[in-house]
Amino acid sequence: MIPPSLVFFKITSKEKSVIKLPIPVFLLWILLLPIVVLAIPLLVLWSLLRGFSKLKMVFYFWMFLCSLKGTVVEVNSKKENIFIKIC
Amino acid sequence: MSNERLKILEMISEGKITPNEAEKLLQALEASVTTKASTTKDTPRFIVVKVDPKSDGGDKVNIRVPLQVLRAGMKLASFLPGAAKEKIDEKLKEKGVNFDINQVTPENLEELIKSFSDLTVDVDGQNEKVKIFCE
Repeated sequence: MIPPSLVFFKITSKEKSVIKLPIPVFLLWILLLPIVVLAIPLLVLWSLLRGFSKLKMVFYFWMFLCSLKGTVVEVNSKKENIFIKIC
Repeated sequence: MSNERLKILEMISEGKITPNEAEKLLQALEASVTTKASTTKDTPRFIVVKVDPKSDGGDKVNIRVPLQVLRAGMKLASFLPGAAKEKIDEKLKEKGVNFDINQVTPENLEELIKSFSDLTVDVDGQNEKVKIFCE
């Protein structure tokens, strides 16, 4: 289960200005990796003592994040066009 | 040549069945193969919502969401507190939707998602046309 790595924004206004902004979300995962590596043993220990529901919740939240890949939102109005794609 | 067809031909050669009986068996075999092919549909992967305005002033919207989000969302929904689930059920019933979120199992959800391949909703409103479908 690979999470989204890039969120692509494109805003085109009627004055012909274009904002193209690829956001490298994978950098966020790289930054979070050390925290996750430290947190996993604590989470497993917590789960062994208090039940596995918290661990399941974290896992399902991660599944939810990973499932967002492929989402496209496109809005074309009179003033501007907005395009968002999660890759 | 499939195993079933071979068996039928062997039975003719051994004299166990007549050619007419073999013909009927082969036709039944072909019919079952056709039925299997027509019932295996590709599971849709995305749900698409398109809004097309009727006038020039409106906004055109195109949203595509992976159906995996629905699966993951239903699993997360299992962690909702009981009081929150009851409130959600109440609100849905007020809107005329008799849907109990607790009754949705992973098997039901997969069947529901497979049936979405035939889902098409077309709404022709005063100001815009809305189309919802799965692909």
